[in-house]
Amino acid sequence: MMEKPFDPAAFVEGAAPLLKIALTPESRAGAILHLTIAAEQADLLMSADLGDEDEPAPVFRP
Amino acid sequence: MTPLLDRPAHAIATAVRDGVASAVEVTRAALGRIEARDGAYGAFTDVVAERALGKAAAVDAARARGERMGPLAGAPFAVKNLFDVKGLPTRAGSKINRELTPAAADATLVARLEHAGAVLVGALNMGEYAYDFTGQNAHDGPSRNPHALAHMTGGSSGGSGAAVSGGLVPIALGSDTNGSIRVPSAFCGVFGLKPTYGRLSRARTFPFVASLDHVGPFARSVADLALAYDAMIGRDEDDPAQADVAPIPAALGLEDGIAGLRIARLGGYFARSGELCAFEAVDRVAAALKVGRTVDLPDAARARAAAYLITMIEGAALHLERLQTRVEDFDPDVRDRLIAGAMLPGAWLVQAQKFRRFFRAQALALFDDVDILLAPATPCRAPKLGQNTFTLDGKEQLVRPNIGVFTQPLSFIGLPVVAVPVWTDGEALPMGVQIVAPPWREDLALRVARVLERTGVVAAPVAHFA
Repeated sequence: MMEKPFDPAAFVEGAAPLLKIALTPESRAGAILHLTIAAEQADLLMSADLGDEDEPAPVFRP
Repeated sequence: MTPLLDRPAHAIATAVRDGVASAVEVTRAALGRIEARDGAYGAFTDVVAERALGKAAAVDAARARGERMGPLAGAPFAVKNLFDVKGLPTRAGSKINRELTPAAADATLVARLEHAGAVLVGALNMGEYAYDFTGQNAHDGPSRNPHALAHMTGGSSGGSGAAVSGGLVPIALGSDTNGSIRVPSAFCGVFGLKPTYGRLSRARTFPFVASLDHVGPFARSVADLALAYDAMIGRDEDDPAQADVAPIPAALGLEDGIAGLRIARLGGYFARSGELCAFEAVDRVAAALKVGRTVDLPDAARARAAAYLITMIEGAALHLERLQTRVEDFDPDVRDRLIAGAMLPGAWLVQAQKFRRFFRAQALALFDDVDILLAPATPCRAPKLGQNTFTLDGKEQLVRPNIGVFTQPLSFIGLPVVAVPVWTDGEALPMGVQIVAPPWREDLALRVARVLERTGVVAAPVAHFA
């Protein structure tokens, strides 16, 4: 099955009501731009070879 | 004769201790200089003249009684306006927070510097909620680079960089989540210390990204950085993020030199994606230290990506309610990154924190074989105010998110860094170099910075005021 390309505009439009954030034309455009940059960064991060047993950095100490 | 205010804090303190000048005279001079110059610099958002003169009078009275004087006796300082200052709302660069109830007590670090005899004169301009590398602020106006007023100070501790390089105060405090001490230090030509994550108390400072927030000093002399650092170290039960690791004071061994220290420059990621001047500055520092070795810190680009995403997600979580109820009151440049950050998948945050632990292990392994690493602080000199894009690697990129390409991977794992200013003949603006030490070894980075300062390779002159 072909992977569907990411549509940042649709994502922002759909997520804003979930987060109860009101968008304006200006903030919508800015959020789309920054979501696109974040997705590029995430492509790099998510390709890191980490396993199930790798612990996250902060360890809670009771 | 050099005006006392142009001299380092330790020289001011000596003059006050020796009775050559009174703390009240020094404070009046600082307040006068702020009045005369800050219209051009935009460094201060609040001046606490009455408090400062009261504290200075107390310093003078203590001297008259023959009491022991602190190492910073009578030296003026100021703090980024995310530090609580009793009686002021902690605005953190925002419009929204200035409606808060005034702080009931000072931040721990403010109290500790005053305990060492320093005199708080005010609070400093910053990028909104510290989500900024430029020093511009939609509500308070930009801080301006005292060495070239049409240029950025860098941020988010822009007022801190401007106040110190402009000679308004010899010491300032700032915060650094991704580079916000090191970038303005580099752009404004002053020294800055970002200590190890968990070293200095963040109590009563307004947060940004709990996983990555650090606080630390700016100064025009390495000795002042060391004295300020020593005055601020120590356990603080009010900061749950502080590490229970015994601090090593830095001032006592500051002149010990670098004999025996293994120093290398960082290659790979840290040797590309910048203008030539960024790497030439590292060349000059490396040559002065007789460093011929280059080492690689693998996966730095991924570390930067992880820091970038943790910042977006944690920053957005901190501000979500304000985004829901006061979105129109944010600086638009900050608002849109926070809105996008609120929408990012949780799996990215967990992966970033897992990668953080992995990357930390990589860096610690490198420090088995080396004591100090050198890297550029920024990819370019201070851009012009209002400049939105620059060219990196032949590609036009946004200024705001990309100034921190070299600082972000290092603060991501909390390494202590001293930023030192390097000047080139014919250039009005300096470049910064990062001196990076293993965790908890601020003293080593400061020793290296002091050697460079002593040999004249790095310097932080007060900007000429026209």
